[in-house]
Amino acid sequence: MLWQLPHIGVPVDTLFYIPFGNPNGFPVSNTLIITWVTILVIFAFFFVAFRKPKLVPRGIQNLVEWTFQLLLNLCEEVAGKEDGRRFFPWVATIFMFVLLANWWEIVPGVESLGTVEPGVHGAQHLGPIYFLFGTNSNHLTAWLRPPSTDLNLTLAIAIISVVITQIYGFRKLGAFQHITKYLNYHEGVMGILVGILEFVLELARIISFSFRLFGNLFAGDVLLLVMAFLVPFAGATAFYFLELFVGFIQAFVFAMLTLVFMTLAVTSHEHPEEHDAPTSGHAAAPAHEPIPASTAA
Amino acid sequence: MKNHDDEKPKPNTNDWAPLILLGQVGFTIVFSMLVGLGIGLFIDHQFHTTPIATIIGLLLGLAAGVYGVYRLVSSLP
Repeated sequence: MLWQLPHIGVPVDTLFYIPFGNPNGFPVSNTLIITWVTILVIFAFFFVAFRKPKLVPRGIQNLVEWTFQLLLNLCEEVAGKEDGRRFFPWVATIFMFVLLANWWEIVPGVESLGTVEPGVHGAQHLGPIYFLFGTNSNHLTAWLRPPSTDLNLTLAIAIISVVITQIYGFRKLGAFQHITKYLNYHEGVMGILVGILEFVLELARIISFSFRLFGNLFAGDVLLLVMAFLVPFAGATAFYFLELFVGFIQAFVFAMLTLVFMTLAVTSHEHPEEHDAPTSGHAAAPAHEPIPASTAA
Repeated sequence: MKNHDDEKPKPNTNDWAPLILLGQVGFTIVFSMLVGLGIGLFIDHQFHTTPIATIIGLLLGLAAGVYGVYRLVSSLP
């Protein structure tokens, strides 16, 4: 037996506790470690890119500026010039963080390096470091696991996305007009019912955001493990490309939906004519029509 | 920067928005119903009114799903 399929479970493994906070200590899971690493990687990436900025960008600086420009154009096209620039930091941060968090699953060593605890599931102790190999490899506790396969992280990003959308709604429309979206007493019973439906939709959005990302990435993770077990080496390689693609698409979908829902939130429901069209030349998007038709070249 | 962009026809990133919004349609129906069901079960558990609030919550979730899909589709270009 080359190796055995590792035990696949939705709950993450707690590796150790930091003596901080509650009496038992602060639990550090294998996804939390790699989340911190992701944040550090993003910091390092931008630090290296803009350590010596040049007027004509080359190398990493060029890549970062190109990504920046692409995302900024996207925001301005969907939300209009002014709102697009306002939403851009959130959309770009979510996109870059989720993208890197997703791509951890194709990095070698993630989920294949860990320990086999003595006595756990009846396995014998095999030393502190253990690679996914041999007959006991199904008892492996991985040190690193892709952060997006932890529902806590995806739920956190989804809550951030929805809360920020609400805050922009409050700021742009004013507290009173924004609340009447959910407490609409002007139009009688129908208005109140629609208000409740809006509230249910907001809750459903948090869950759909988090479960979409979690589901796609956890499924991809399991797919890679199973394929590495069924068709080692050659057969599994194709699925690494698939997961590269899926990771990008899911990050893009998350950022794009955040952007679209932010645009919808700052759009007045009752008086669409209040808001003028953005003054930009190439992104002529009226505020009440948040996703304009593609401008044919 | 602007001049360079105008010269060549670049793929319009905005074409992605309708596709992604349509992908949200299925999620909206399913998770709205789940949220409605969850609210109904919670109310039933708290006030011991077992089937009533669950049924109302489920119907509310279904209505929210249909309304949400209507909102999504009407925001498409």
